[in-house]
Amino acid sequence: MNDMKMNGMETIDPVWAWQPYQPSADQTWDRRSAAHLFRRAGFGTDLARIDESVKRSPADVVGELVAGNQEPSEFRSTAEALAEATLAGGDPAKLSAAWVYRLLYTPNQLLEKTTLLWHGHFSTGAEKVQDARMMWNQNQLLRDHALGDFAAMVHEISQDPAMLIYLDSAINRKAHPNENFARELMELFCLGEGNYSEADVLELARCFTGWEIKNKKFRKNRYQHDSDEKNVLGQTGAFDGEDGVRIVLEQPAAPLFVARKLVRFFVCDEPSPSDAMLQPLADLFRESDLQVAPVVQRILGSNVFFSSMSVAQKIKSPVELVIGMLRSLKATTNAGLVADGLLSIGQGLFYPPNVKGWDGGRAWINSSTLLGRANLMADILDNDSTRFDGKSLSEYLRGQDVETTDQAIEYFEHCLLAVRLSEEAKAQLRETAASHSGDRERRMRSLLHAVTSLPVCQLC
Amino acid sequence: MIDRPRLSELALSGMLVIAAYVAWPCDASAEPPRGADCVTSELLPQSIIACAEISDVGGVLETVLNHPLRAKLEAMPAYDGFMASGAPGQLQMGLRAFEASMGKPWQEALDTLTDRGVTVALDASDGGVAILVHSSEAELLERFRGFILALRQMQGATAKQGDYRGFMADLVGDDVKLVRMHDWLLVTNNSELGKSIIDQYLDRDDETLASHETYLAARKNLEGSAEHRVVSAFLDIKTLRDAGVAKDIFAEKIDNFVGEVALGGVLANLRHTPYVTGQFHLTTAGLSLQLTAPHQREWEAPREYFFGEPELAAAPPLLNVPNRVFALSTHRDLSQMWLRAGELLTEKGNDQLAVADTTLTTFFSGRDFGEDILGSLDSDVQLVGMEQDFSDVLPQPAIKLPAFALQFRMKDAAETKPELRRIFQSFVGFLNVVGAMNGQPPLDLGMESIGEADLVTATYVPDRDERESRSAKIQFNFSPTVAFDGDRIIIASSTPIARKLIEPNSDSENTNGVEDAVQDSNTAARLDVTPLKRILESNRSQLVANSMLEKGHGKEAAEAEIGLLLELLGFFRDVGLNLDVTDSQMALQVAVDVEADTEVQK
Amino acid sequence: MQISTNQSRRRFLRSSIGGAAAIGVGANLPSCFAQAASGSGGSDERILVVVQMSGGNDGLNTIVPYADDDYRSARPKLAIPSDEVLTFDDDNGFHPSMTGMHELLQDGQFAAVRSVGYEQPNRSHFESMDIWHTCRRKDEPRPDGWLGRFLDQQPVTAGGDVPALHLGREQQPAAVASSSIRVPTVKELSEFQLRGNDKQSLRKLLEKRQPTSTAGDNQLLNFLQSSTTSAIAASQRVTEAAQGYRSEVKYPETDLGNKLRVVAQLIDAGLTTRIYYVQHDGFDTHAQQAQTHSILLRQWSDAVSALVRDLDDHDHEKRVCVMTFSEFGRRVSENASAGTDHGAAGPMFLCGGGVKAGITGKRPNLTDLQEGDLKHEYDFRQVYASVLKDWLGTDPTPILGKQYKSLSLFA
Repeated sequence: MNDMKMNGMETIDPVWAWQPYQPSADQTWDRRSAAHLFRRAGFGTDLARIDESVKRSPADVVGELVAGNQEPSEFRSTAEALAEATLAGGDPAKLSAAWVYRLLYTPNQLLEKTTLLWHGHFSTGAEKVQDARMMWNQNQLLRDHALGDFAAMVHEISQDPAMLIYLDSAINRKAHPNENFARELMELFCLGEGNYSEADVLELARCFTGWEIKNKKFRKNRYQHDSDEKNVLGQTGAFDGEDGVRIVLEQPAAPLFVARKLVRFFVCDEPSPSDAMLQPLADLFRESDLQVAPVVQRILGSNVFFSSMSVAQKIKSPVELVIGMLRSLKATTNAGLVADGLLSIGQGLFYPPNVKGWDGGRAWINSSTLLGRANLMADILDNDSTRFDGKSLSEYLRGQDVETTDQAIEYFEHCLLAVRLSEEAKAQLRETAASHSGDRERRMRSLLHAVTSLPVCQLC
Repeated sequence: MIDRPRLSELALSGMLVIAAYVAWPCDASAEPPRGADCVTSELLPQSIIACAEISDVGGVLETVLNHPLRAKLEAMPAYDGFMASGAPGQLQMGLRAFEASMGKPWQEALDTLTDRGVTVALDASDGGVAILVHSSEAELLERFRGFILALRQMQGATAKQGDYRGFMADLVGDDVKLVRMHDWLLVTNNSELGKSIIDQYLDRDDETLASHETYLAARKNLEGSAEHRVVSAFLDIKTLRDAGVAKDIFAEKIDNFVGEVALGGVLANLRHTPYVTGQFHLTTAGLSLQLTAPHQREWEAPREYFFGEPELAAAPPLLNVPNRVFALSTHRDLSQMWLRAGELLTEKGNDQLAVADTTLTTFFSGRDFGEDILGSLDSDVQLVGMEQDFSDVLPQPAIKLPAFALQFRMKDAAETKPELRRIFQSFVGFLNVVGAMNGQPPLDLGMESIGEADLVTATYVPDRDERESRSAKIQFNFSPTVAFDGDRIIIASSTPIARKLIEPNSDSENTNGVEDAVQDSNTAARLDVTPLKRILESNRSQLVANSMLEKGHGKEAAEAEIGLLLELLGFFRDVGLNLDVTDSQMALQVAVDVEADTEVQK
Repeated sequence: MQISTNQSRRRFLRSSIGGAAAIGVGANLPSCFAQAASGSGGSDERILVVVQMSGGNDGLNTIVPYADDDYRSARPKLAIPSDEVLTFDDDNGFHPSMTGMHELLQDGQFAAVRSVGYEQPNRSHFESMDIWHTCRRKDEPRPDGWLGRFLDQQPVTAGGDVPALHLGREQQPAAVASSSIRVPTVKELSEFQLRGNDKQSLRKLLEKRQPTSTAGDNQLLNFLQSSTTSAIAASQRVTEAAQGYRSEVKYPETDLGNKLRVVAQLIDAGLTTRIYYVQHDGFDTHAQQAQTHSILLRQWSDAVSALVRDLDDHDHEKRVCVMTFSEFGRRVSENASAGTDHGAAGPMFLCGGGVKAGITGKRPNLTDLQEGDLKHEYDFRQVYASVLKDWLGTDPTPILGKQYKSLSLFA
């Protein structure tokens, strides 16, 4: 708990924290802060775009990112056609590759990043659901609301076939109310532990009786619905499932709970901020009728987001590491390879580990995943299909006027690292690069492999 | 952007030319030694276990470049797209630089560089490989060396050189070295091998491959018509075997039953035969590869199931159906093989087989699979695949697969037919029970008769809201069917192909040219490219998606790639494969026919 | 050359640390030495290797009541002839394939518990396996498995070696599902090693802590740096263990044999992983059981006894226990296809230097059956409880949901 003092999140003034960031001599708006914004609001972008953004105001750039809350129809139709083609085979693992493709090509990184957030939040695993199309439909649902209406998202997720199958709630009879979904709705999706009682779980479960999945579709079985009076979270009435969701979302704990999730996702892994710190965001969330975009916009444009409490204060998820490297160098590669690799290092898309989703932070890291991260990078850089803006890495870098090892180290530092390298670290990298006898392409790829395997590159 | 490549292209050419000329004078000192006038095998040590001689590179280039397909290729829109994509720009640039350093057009340069032969040789030790290029113009070889070195430098690799007995060796790859010895150019990844070749070149006093017994026998085997032959190769199996290389191939028994069915006899032959020779032919009409090895019947006892008993047996004719994609016929006594698996397979293989036997015997209602089921069938195995017509069919699967059918002859149809029919019916019932647990659509059993023939069919029943679907599950490619016609039993993946095989008006066993060729073959197969191309066409969106996912292409690039691929496929007519066995020889032949005489359509 | 020096260096460190500790100067050693030494085999935490026989093992033909007439009359085709049984007392013996286990029993390294099961047995593979994995019935939520809950109870060790490993290509068993830790599924040893053209130089780069300008005040970076150096050290140990691994024991060339050899190498490399999980499939012998069952038992017995012998040779026998179970036994009477159908209670097995050798439980009563199946004498959670309490040293009650009476299975 030393960390908390180090980080300073506890002593910070909540009003200052969420006020719009104004560049100052202390906190300049430069390549580093712009790259930070792009890494957090997405996965990362190439240096040209970073440099172009530095010329504009941070608020302007954040505004543009948040405004991309729907996919352009052309990209959406390409991505959907791709997903449809993979669905024909019926294998959810292939679907994972189709999402990787989307992450690599999307013009709206913030939308995909937020979709990924909700995928972990409303955790549903294909291993149990087994049906690729259901997983895909849920994914579209999350994307449609990712930066939109949180309440609508919860209402739809509570009738989503993949979710209900995942939570063993495909059948919910009057005589045996299934508590599973009711419990997760409050504990994991909307309120958090401590904001409801066991009695509330029982009563809420009664609201959902009769909700079932038949032939892969949601339906309300009125013969199995308990139409008697219930007492949920202090309200009394003959509630049905929709009422249940509405009542949960009306709780004061709800906006605070979601704000905490968003701050942990966008700002820093640890320590967990105090309620007081989150209150301004929770208020904003409630005022905007649980619209996600305004809160995300406030966070990404805030003082605290650009402060030392946030920069380099997250551990990259596997997706952030891999997609980040690729997008920062305009690279494309074999999406299936990436999808399988992500699964092996702990973040298989459509394969979250359990109902809680990915814990994130330090839980990403152990000796097996660290080796796995370095090895996945090796596999990607060894793969013939890996191209950088359609070129080899050395050609791409040459186009950026990067010719020497020193220039390359500096280039990678700017687009991939949240923390500056010390001179000694650079010397070590130079030494590593010098130990290769291969041609320039091989040396550049080795250097990139080394940089992405460094502990510092695991920071976001 | 447009200026960049041109500039660098000029610079590259310039540098390469300069480099090539700078490299030139240093050669003047080397006198042609005694080795200058020998054939390649006289330079190679006896430890060489494989070598391939490529003759007439110029002729190959001429055949390829003047081929009618070339005009067709260049007329394709996809080709234009490819050229415009910039990818070939580098190739063009490289070629131009090559021409500049060689001082003549690239075809001519290549022709002259290689006019006395190119040989690739593999050494028994440490995977050493040597490539020897023999040219009538030593000067051109030196320019080529300069070109390669300059290219390395352009790529940013550091130059490394070494000297052996007056010859300069340059490092041109991870551990690949390049040496010019007067009118020879030697490229090798193994210093010891390189040294021994140079020694031989200078001293000419050692035992060489040219005096090696096996090599001589193999050479003799390769004599005869060399017309259109571009590669002739030799592989010393005996040495390879004795050296313990590729133990898996030479192991007395293998793990895998399917492998044994397909290749058991071939692998058995490889355990005894001294060498294999290979020939590669190229003509305007196509290309072919022939591998030949000495063979003797008594080398291996327990493989009668493969070669036939008491004498060599031939495969039955290739089956024919409309829109056939492939056909394969072979002689295999599967029952004998299953029962003798104890002698044929490894312990591990037999363990697996025993487990499979338990499962299959469960499926086949307690009948012993090897003895009762396989034992009721003759040794003629015929497999055929067909493009399926989905134009009037609903639901239509999103991925469209070919249908295939396996045909056997029953030894005693009256006995076997009712039994296998019952087994099929209970098997379908079993699938329905298992499938229902896994959310698979159910199968509906049916019976039909065509003339004297009986069919037992099983059809997938779609969900109510998927009856009209055009993107149905992959299962809707299948309607498992068993057909009985006289002594024939046909096990088919779909009902239509079974019908085609028994409809009396379709000559399912026609005997035109191709089928005749089967007569002497143990195994024959043929792939028809046109229907294959149509199947791929109908799955184009899947292929495009795959290309996007696996290559990371954008949509347009993926569509262009698949378009080009399908167009290119159209250049081929068919692929034939034959395994011919005689009392003294075993030969495997693969021939690819191209559409040589197509008119260019504008 | 290099391999053997590394090997001997490790040996040297191990023995010198041991020696130093013995004379009470351990605390004075530089900490890096102590760490290296504890990594290379000094760890003394106990390890559990779980072997799952998938498909339902026929317990009656595994531990055979060969003198029981009821056995012979229930199994006219499948009963093992008395003269083939590897006997261990007047009434009971092992299936003839189990020579390895027979020797382990004689050497005091084998224990079995007979007639293990649970109330109201379920005869579906999936359902019964889920019950064994999670200790819960279908109508209860079961987000995690019993081993996963054990892992949840252990002190958090983010950044170090994974606390449990599943080896194989199958889907991960629910037994290791945990709410706090993701257990990796590993297909081969190479996943513990750096790959790629530049692995040597990369290892050199990563094995030292990188100096960074802000490392001092970034806790996450400190954490990542120490995790990376320890990951590289662990991978180096695994590489050395794999390269320099000398074993007098010949593992069978089977999938299970290969997996258990990897387990031995990882244990010998000093990974702090405490749970290894492997699966051995194919026991669903409805027809022509005799040959298949004999093969499966031989594969299991040979591989597990090889592992135990190998661990003996490398001085790990006192800290590794191999536990084998199956989701159910099989019907007492054979069926018409010379096979057996899904049953209920069956035996469990524990092997290793720490077990109390012998057979626990009575000879199954073949006349007092429930729906044709053996009744259970012990609940499987009693065996789990013994393993958790007496072997892994933890309180079993919160893991198993209630208190189960443990058995005396460990020495």
